Amino acid sequence: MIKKDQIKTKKPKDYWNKRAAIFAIVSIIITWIIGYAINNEAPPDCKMVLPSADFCKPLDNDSFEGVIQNEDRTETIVGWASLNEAPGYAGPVKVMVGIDPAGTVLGTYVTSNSETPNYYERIENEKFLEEFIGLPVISPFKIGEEIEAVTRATVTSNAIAEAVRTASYTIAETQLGLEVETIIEPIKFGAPEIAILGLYLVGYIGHRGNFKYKKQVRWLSLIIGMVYLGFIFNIPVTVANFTSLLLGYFPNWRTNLYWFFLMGGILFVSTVDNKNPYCQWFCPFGAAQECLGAIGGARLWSPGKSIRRNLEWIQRGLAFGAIILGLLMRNPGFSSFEIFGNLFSFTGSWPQWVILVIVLLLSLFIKRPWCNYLCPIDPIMDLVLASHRWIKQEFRKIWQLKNLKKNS
Amino acid sequence: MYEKFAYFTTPQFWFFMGILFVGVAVGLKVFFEDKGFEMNWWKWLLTALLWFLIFFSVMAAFTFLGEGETRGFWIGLALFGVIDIILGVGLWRLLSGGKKVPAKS
Amino acid sequence: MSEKTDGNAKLSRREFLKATGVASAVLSLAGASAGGVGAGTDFDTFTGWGASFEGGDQYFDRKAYEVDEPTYKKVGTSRRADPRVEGRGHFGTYKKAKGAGWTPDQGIDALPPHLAAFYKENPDSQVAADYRHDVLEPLQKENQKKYGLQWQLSKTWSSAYSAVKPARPDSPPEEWDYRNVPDEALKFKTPDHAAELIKKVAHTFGATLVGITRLNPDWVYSHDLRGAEKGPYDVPEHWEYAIAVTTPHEWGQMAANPTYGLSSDAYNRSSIAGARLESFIQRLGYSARLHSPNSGYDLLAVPVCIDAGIGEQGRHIFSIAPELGSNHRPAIITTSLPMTIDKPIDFGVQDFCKNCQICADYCPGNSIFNGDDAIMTVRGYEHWYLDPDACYNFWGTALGNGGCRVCLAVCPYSRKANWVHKTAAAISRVDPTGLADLSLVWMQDTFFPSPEKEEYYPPNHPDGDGWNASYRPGPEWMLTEKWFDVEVTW
Repeated sequence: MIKKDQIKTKKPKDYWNKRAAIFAIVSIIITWIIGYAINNEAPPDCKMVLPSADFCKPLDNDSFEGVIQNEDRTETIVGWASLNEAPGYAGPVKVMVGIDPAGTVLGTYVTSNSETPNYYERIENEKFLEEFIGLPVISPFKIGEEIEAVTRATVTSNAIAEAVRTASYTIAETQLGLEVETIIEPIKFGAPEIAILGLYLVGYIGHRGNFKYKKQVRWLSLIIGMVYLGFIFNIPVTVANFTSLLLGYFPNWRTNLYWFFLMGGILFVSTVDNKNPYCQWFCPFGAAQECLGAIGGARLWSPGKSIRRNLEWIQRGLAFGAIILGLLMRNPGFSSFEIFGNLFSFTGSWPQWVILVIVLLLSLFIKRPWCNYLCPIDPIMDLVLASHRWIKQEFRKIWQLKNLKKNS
Repeated sequence: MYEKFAYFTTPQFWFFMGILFVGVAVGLKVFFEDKGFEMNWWKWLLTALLWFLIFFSVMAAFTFLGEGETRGFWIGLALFGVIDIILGVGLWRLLSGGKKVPAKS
Repeated sequence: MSEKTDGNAKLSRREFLKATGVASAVLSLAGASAGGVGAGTDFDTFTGWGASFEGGDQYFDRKAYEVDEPTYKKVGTSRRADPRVEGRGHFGTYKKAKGAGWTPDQGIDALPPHLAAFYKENPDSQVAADYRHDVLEPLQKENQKKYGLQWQLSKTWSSAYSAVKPARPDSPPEEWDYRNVPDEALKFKTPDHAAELIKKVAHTFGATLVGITRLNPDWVYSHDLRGAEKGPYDVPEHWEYAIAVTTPHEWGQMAANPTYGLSSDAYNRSSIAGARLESFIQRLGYSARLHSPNSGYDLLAVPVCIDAGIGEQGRHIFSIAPELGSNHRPAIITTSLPMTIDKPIDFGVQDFCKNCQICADYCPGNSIFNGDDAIMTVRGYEHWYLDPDACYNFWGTALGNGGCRVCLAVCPYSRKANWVHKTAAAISRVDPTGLADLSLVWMQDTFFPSPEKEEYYPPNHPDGDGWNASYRPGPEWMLTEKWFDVEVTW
């Protein structure tokens, strides 16, 4: 007779996974709301761009009128300030522009940004913001003409120029009664976009069930991914991309189509096909690890079930922490701890370099060590695919129940 | 620092280095034989190339140190060192015939 | 029994050989380290300062890189440069006008006519000059008093080079250029002989590099010939050929620009070598006139250097020589002596500078441009150019010896002649794809980094808040605190 307490009730498969998934999704929603609430910035001081103003009168359209109080109690207008934003590399860059009554730019000031500090420092060092001073309010503020972009910070430069343009034009139209031409950026469809579409095509062909050359096609796809997405364009998928997605920080679709193709494609394939097209087929860093593994004869490291499970939870925790931090600070780049930026764009902090070297050397002997134990994309994709699977299961159950009811 | 290292730029020094290179070659030959590696001319060529790569990586890093470029020294050592290790592992696998325990998946 | 000992003996001999192999490997790597440090510190790699007054420092084989046309282009009608207003000339002319009593309320037309015309066409230059005179120069004086002790030794060493300076011409060229000419001239067998001898003696006189070309009259200034009446002048007919001689700065101080760095060592060495050469040529019986940092110029020295095959022009607009990189300061001798001329050379600088941009990235005055903006048409010629006002205004900001020369120091070509840099330069020349150049530029920026632009400024300067950074620390022998009893507040 088997005693009841001797039977260990085996928890159903995915027991903890399901609960962890629900916890993660709920936490993300809550943190998103908290982040939104605590990151409401105080309205900036218009004196930052209108230094001679005594105080700022708020107007419509996020604008302010700067005035001096005269001795005889009258007021003199010294100019107007306007706030606007444009998508930068990691999130919106908010800029305030000051215009004087003659229609010249008096000053510019970035009130907030989420760019990587290394890159933003270049903007400050080059005194990029001062290039706008003295330009007429209706000038096109075009990068490459009156304004020089800061080398290696072109996306941020473009964002600032765009924000300055929109803010200036607001003042031009509302306060100075001038006509402005709307500048429409041409849609950029270039090499990165073609490369990504090409990779998805290759993946589509290669994934077909019994495709004879699956292994070769996968290697081809990996090499292309490593060279193009990695070294040439430096656009690997990072946890910051997912945080951006959650925050709604989409880049300018006209000039960053590749971002939409990349993220959209991944989400599309995972929902429709329930497969992860990225990690095994064209992740540049995964490709680099597999190349090293081929040189060194890497084997999969299986340290024992319980250790492996613990490491898995650590990996999930890292990804979870990165997203939560990013949502709280409303800054996707804040918690991007990936080390492959160092490999592909040769920038990064000292700890990242050290970890990169260790990971690269390990990948000679262990298969894809970063992917299997540290990469945050892995657990994120797991969550997406698993959620998709469970939701489908639930729907199927409901549908089956409905059918039973019908037939009975 | 300047003239203390002047000896190491003399022809006599390099003569002795040449003798050491021969010592390395002999040692490697015996080592490979004992390991049962089947060597041929191009495997020896690759081995020689890797040896000189390692040698000149170290010498380049220390040249930077001699010039006073300490950052170049550390980064050079790290960068060339990693490349040398990766190539070294690759060469080892090549020489040993790639016979490793098949991958457990 | 004997087999066993034989076997053991064999085994231990193999072990011995393997052990020797390991020991040799370890010793070789130790040797590599020592050899590396030796190569890095070897004085013979300090081209122009180490060994040779025998011409051995002009080691590059220029014949292999000769081209028929220099790597700049003539694109339009050309004209000569007016030294009174162009480049940084206007700063001095303006200051003189102010010293003679001109004030802004008199209006721009009260200035000397050439200056007024220049400022009407280039109003930004007047703004820059006013800024320099009113703000930068007084501030620089103040800052020098505050921080200057740090570079006292360097300044003293620099000033010592004024002990012997060639004289500025004080009579018209018809007299000055012939002042040592004897009654009977020694005629050379052929122009080939002339060229070879001139180069040989130039090296004995102290020149590191020598090149010979025909003088392009467009390079001669338009006004104010030295030793003659002020005003416009025609290019004297006896200025037919031009010899470029050049020497490098001391390598340790050059790397420590702008503060520990200085111009006078190379300026004086080139000027003296040139003065000796001028005297030599005159005494042979031919006219010769020195244009040098110490005695003044009547022409633009850099294009003459390029025509003479000394080097190519780089993004920072100076000439880059294969042996010295950007680290050289030329003097020119114009002469009537017929010599076989050298052809200009092309050893890959134009393509390299297009990719590199390091000087533009680190110029503290923001005067060097990135990208193709740095290629401009100036007075009918298309070549690299920059903003001379921004450059000169940074000279009015940096402390130490004055001037800047950061672009000379950060340039990847300005490296000592050890095996690493020679190999790198050779790879750059040989590779047609440009991939080598990209890697070399990355390595230069990563292995030999520079402080950021703003760091080169003094603390609390209106244009930048820095810490008087220098590209590299001052060389040990130039540190004031090493030799003198001073209080170190830096």
